[in-house]
Amino acid sequence: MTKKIDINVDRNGPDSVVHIQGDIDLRTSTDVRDVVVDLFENRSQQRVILDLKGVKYIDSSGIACLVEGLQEAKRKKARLILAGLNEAPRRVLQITRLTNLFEVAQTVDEALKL
Amino acid sequence: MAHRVELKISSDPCWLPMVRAMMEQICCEAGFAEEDRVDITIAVDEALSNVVRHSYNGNPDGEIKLRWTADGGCLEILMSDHGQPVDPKRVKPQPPDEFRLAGRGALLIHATMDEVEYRRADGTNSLRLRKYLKPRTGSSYDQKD
Repeated sequence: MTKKIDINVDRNGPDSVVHIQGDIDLRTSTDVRDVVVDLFENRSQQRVILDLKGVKYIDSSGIACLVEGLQEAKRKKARLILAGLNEAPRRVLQITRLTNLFEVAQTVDEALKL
Repeated sequence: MAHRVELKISSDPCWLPMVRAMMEQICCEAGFAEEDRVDITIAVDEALSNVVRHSYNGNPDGEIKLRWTADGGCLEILMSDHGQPVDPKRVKPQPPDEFRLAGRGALLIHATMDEVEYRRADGTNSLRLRKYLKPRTGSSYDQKD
Protein backbone atom coordinates (compact mmCIF):
# COMPACT_ATOMS: atom_id res chain seq x y z
CA MET A 1 0.00 0.00 0.00
CA THR A 2 1.38 3.44 -0.93
CA LYS A 3 2.36 5.52 2.09
CA LYS A 4 0.20 8.60 2.12
CA ILE A 5 2.25 11.01 4.21
CA ASP A 6 5.55 11.07 6.09
CA ILE A 7 5.58 12.72 9.50
CA ASN A 8 8.81 12.89 11.50
CA VAL A 9 9.15 14.72 14.78
CA ASP A 10 12.38 16.21 16.11
CA ARG A 11 11.98 16.99 19.79
CA ASN A 12 14.36 19.19 21.70
CA GLY A 13 13.16 19.89 25.23
CA PRO A 14 9.99 21.97 25.05
CA ASP A 15 10.30 22.48 21.27
CA SER A 16 9.37 20.18 18.43
CA VAL A 17 9.82 20.42 14.70
CA VAL A 18 7.36 18.30 12.77
CA HIS A 19 8.69 17.52 9.29
CA ILE A 20 5.90 16.62 6.89
CA GLN A 21 6.31 15.17 3.39
CA GLY A 22 3.19 14.74 1.30
CA ASP A 23 -0.17 16.44 0.89
CA ILE A 24 -2.39 17.22 3.86
CA ASP A 25 -5.82 16.32 2.52
CA LEU A 26 -8.87 14.27 3.35
CA ARG A 27 -6.79 11.10 3.60
CA THR A 28 -3.99 12.41 5.77
CA SER A 29 -5.22 15.41 7.77
CA THR A 30 -6.21 13.36 10.84
CA ASP A 31 -2.68 11.87 10.97
CA VAL A 32 -1.19 15.36 11.14
CA ARG A 33 -3.76 16.55 13.64
CA ASP A 34 -3.14 13.58 15.93
CA VAL A 35 0.60 14.23 16.00
CA VAL A 36 0.24 17.96 16.68
CA VAL A 37 -2.44 17.59 19.36
CA ASP A 38 -0.43 14.84 21.05
CA LEU A 39 2.64 17.10 21.25
CA PHE A 40 0.68 19.78 23.09
CA GLU A 41 -1.68 17.61 25.11
CA ASN A 42 0.55 14.74 26.19
CA ARG A 43 4.12 15.90 25.70
CA SER A 44 3.89 19.43 27.09
CA GLN A 45 5.52 21.04 24.10
CA GLN A 46 5.70 24.81 24.32
CA ARG A 47 6.54 25.44 20.71
CA VAL A 48 5.69 23.23 17.74
CA ILE A 49 7.01 24.19 14.33
CA LEU A 50 5.40 22.52 11.33
CA ASP A 51 7.97 22.14 8.57
CA LEU A 52 5.71 22.34 5.51
CA LYS A 53 8.26 22.74 2.73
CA GLY A 54 7.56 19.17 1.67
CA VAL A 55 3.79 19.81 1.52
CA LYS A 56 2.57 20.80 -1.92
CA TYR A 57 -1.11 20.86 -1.08
CA ILE A 58 -3.36 21.42 1.92
CA ASP A 59 -7.14 21.16 1.53
CA SER A 60 -9.88 22.47 3.81
CA SER A 61 -9.67 19.39 6.05
CA GLY A 62 -5.94 20.07 6.38
CA ILE A 63 -6.68 23.66 7.34
CA ALA A 64 -9.17 22.40 9.92
CA CYS A 65 -6.48 20.21 11.48
CA LEU A 66 -4.10 23.17 11.64
CA VAL A 67 -6.82 25.24 13.34
CA GLU A 68 -7.41 22.40 15.80
CA GLY A 69 -3.71 22.28 16.51
CA LEU A 70 -3.68 26.02 17.08
CA GLN A 71 -6.65 25.80 19.42
CA GLU A 72 -4.83 23.14 21.42
CA ALA A 73 -1.72 25.30 21.52
CA LYS A 74 -3.70 28.26 22.82
CA ARG A 75 -5.35 26.06 25.47
CA LYS A 76 -1.89 25.08 26.68
CA LYS A 77 -0.50 28.62 26.30
CA ALA A 78 1.92 27.25 23.73
CA ARG A 79 2.77 28.20 20.14
CA LEU A 80 2.23 26.61 16.76
CA ILE A 81 4.30 28.01 13.89
CA LEU A 82 3.96 27.16 10.20
CA ALA A 83 7.22 27.16 8.25
CA GLY A 84 7.98 26.81 4.56
CA LEU A 85 4.52 27.30 3.08
CA ASN A 86 4.39 26.51 -0.62
CA GLU A 87 2.15 28.29 -3.11
CA ALA A 88 -1.04 26.23 -2.91
CA PRO A 89 -1.16 25.99 0.92
CA ARG A 90 -0.43 29.70 1.16
CA ARG A 91 -3.26 30.42 -1.27
CA VAL A 92 -5.72 28.27 0.71
CA LEU A 93 -4.83 30.15 3.90
CA GLN A 94 -5.26 33.44 2.08
CA ILE A 95 -8.70 32.59 0.69
CA THR A 96 -9.95 31.32 4.05
CA ARG A 97 -8.59 34.49 5.68
CA LEU A 98 -6.42 32.57 8.09
CA THR A 99 -3.12 34.15 7.09
CA ASN A 100 -3.17 36.40 10.12
CA LEU A 101 -4.29 33.70 12.52
CA PHE A 102 -1.10 31.67 12.33
CA GLU A 103 2.50 32.54 13.05
CA VAL A 104 4.30 31.90 9.77
CA ALA A 105 8.00 31.69 8.92
CA GLN A 106 9.79 31.20 5.61
CA THR A 107 11.98 28.43 6.99
CA VAL A 108 12.37 26.26 10.07
CA ASP A 109 15.53 28.18 10.99
CA GLU A 110 13.59 31.42 10.91
CA ALA A 111 10.79 29.85 12.97
CA LEU A 112 13.29 28.75 15.62
CA LYS A 113 14.31 32.36 16.07
CA LEU A 114 10.76 33.60 16.61
CA MET B 1 -11.68 23.27 -31.21
CA ALA B 2 -12.94 22.08 -27.81
CA HIS B 3 -10.75 19.73 -25.80
CA ARG B 4 -12.40 17.22 -23.52
CA VAL B 5 -11.27 14.81 -20.84
CA GLU B 6 -13.62 12.39 -19.10
CA LEU B 7 -12.89 10.32 -16.04
CA LYS B 8 -14.86 7.93 -13.89
CA ILE B 9 -13.50 7.11 -10.43
CA SER B 10 -14.71 5.48 -7.26
CA SER B 11 -15.39 7.71 -4.26
CA ASP B 12 -12.16 6.63 -2.61
CA PRO B 13 -10.06 9.56 -1.38
CA CYS B 14 -6.95 7.79 -2.71
CA TRP B 15 -7.79 9.34 -6.10
CA LEU B 16 -7.55 12.92 -4.87
CA PRO B 17 -3.81 13.31 -5.60
CA MET B 18 -4.25 11.89 -9.08
CA VAL B 19 -7.05 14.32 -9.89
CA ARG B 20 -4.98 17.23 -8.55
CA ALA B 21 -2.09 16.20 -10.77
CA MET B 22 -4.44 15.93 -13.76
CA MET B 23 -5.79 19.42 -13.03
CA GLU B 24 -2.30 20.85 -13.31
CA GLN B 25 -1.86 19.32 -16.75
CA ILE B 26 -5.37 20.12 -18.00
CA CYS B 27 -5.09 23.74 -16.89
CA CYS B 28 -1.69 24.03 -18.52
CA GLU B 29 -3.08 22.71 -21.81
CA ALA B 30 -5.99 25.14 -21.54
CA GLY B 31 -3.54 28.03 -21.23
CA PHE B 32 -4.10 29.12 -17.63
CA ALA B 33 -1.42 31.02 -15.71
CA GLU B 34 0.06 29.36 -12.66
CA GLU B 35 -2.01 31.25 -10.11
CA ASP B 36 -5.21 30.21 -11.88
CA ARG B 37 -4.00 26.62 -12.14
CA VAL B 38 -3.57 26.58 -8.36
CA ASP B 39 -7.04 28.07 -7.88
CA ILE B 40 -8.77 25.64 -10.22
CA THR B 41 -7.02 22.69 -8.56
CA ILE B 42 -8.20 23.92 -5.17
CA ALA B 43 -11.80 24.13 -6.39
CA VAL B 44 -11.88 20.72 -8.01
CA ASP B 45 -10.18 19.05 -5.06
CA GLU B 46 -12.62 20.59 -2.60
CA ALA B 47 -15.61 19.62 -4.74
CA LEU B 48 -14.34 16.07 -5.04
CA SER B 49 -13.66 15.83 -1.31
CA ASN B 50 -17.20 17.03 -0.64
CA VAL B 51 -18.63 14.26 -2.81
CA VAL B 52 -16.52 11.65 -1.02
CA ARG B 53 -17.37 12.95 2.44
CA HIS B 54 -20.96 14.10 2.13
CA SER B 55 -22.63 12.62 -0.94
CA TYR B 56 -21.26 9.17 -0.28
CA ASN B 57 -20.71 9.59 3.50
CA GLY B 58 -17.17 8.25 3.22
CA ASN B 59 -18.23 5.09 1.36
CA PRO B 60 -15.40 4.45 -1.14
CA ASP B 61 -17.58 2.41 -3.50
CA GLY B 62 -19.61 5.22 -5.02
CA GLU B 63 -19.09 6.45 -8.56
CA ILE B 64 -17.96 9.94 -9.50
CA LYS B 65 -17.78 11.23 -13.05
CA LEU B 66 -15.63 14.15 -14.04
CA ARG B 67 -15.61 15.89 -17.37
CA TRP B 68 -13.32 18.74 -18.33
CA THR B 69 -14.07 20.81 -21.41
CA ALA B 70 -11.78 23.60 -22.59
CA ASP B 71 -13.39 25.74 -25.26
CA GLY B 72 -13.03 29.35 -26.33
CA GLY B 73 -11.17 30.62 -23.30
CA CYS B 74 -13.30 28.77 -20.77
CA LEU B 75 -12.56 25.64 -18.78
CA GLU B 76 -15.65 23.88 -17.57
CA ILE B 77 -15.56 21.05 -15.06
CA LEU B 78 -18.66 18.93 -14.59
CA MET B 79 -18.68 16.62 -11.59
CA SER B 80 -21.57 14.24 -11.04
CA ASP B 81 -22.42 11.53 -8.54
CA HIS B 82 -25.35 9.39 -7.43
CA GLY B 83 -24.93 10.02 -3.73
CA GLN B 84 -27.20 11.75 -1.27
CA PRO B 85 -28.63 15.14 -2.12
CA VAL B 86 -26.47 18.02 -1.05
CA ASP B 87 -27.77 20.35 1.64
CA PRO B 88 -28.08 23.68 -0.22
CA LYS B 89 -26.48 25.40 2.76
CA ARG B 90 -23.29 23.43 2.08
CA VAL B 91 -23.07 24.73 -1.47
CA LYS B 92 -23.15 28.37 -0.42
CA PRO B 93 -19.98 29.85 1.00
CA GLN B 94 -20.17 30.49 4.73
CA PRO B 95 -18.78 33.73 6.15
CA PRO B 96 -15.23 33.14 7.29
CA ASP B 97 -14.98 32.18 10.94
CA GLU B 98 -11.45 31.77 12.13
CA PHE B 99 -11.98 28.90 14.50
CA ARG B 100 -14.70 27.03 12.67
CA LEU B 101 -13.38 23.58 11.93
CA ALA B 102 -15.63 22.76 8.99
CA GLY B 103 -17.36 24.53 6.12
CA ARG B 104 -14.47 26.12 4.26
CA GLY B 105 -14.84 23.95 1.18
CA ALA B 106 -17.67 25.95 -0.40
CA LEU B 107 -15.82 29.20 0.32
CA LEU B 108 -12.74 27.87 -1.48
CA ILE B 109 -14.79 26.74 -4.49
CA HIS B 110 -16.66 30.03 -4.87
CA ALA B 111 -13.57 32.15 -4.30
CA THR B 112 -11.52 30.39 -6.96
CA MET B 113 -14.01 29.77 -9.77
CA ASP B 114 -15.90 32.29 -11.93
CA GLU B 115 -19.14 30.28 -11.99
CA VAL B 116 -20.46 27.58 -9.69
CA GLU B 117 -23.73 25.80 -10.37
CA TYR B 118 -25.25 22.88 -8.46
CA ARG B 119 -28.18 20.88 -9.67
CA ARG B 120 -29.91 17.69 -8.61
CA ALA B 121 -32.05 15.71 -11.02
CA ASP B 122 -33.03 12.06 -11.33
CA GLY B 123 -30.98 11.00 -8.32
CA THR B 124 -27.82 12.67 -9.61
CA ASN B 125 -25.89 15.55 -8.10
CA SER B 126 -24.19 17.72 -10.71
CA LEU B 127 -21.71 20.46 -9.97
CA ARG B 128 -20.61 22.67 -12.84
CA LEU B 129 -17.57 24.90 -12.39
CA ARG B 130 -16.31 27.40 -14.91
CA LYS B 131 -13.13 29.43 -15.08
CA TYR B 132 -12.37 31.93 -17.81
CA LEU B 133 -8.96 32.68 -19.17
CA LYS B 134 -7.91 36.17 -18.23
CA PRO B 135 -7.04 38.35 -21.23
CA ARG B 136 -3.32 38.82 -21.54
CA THR B 137 -2.18 42.38 -20.92
CA GLY B 138 -0.09 44.13 -23.56
CA SER B 139 3.36 45.56 -23.07
CA SER B 140 4.57 45.77 -19.52
CA TYR B 141 5.44 49.41 -20.17
CA ASP B 142 2.63 51.82 -19.70
CA GLN B 143 4.03 55.18 -20.55
CA LYS B 144 1.76 57.93 -19.44
CA ASP B 145 2.71 61.52 -20.21
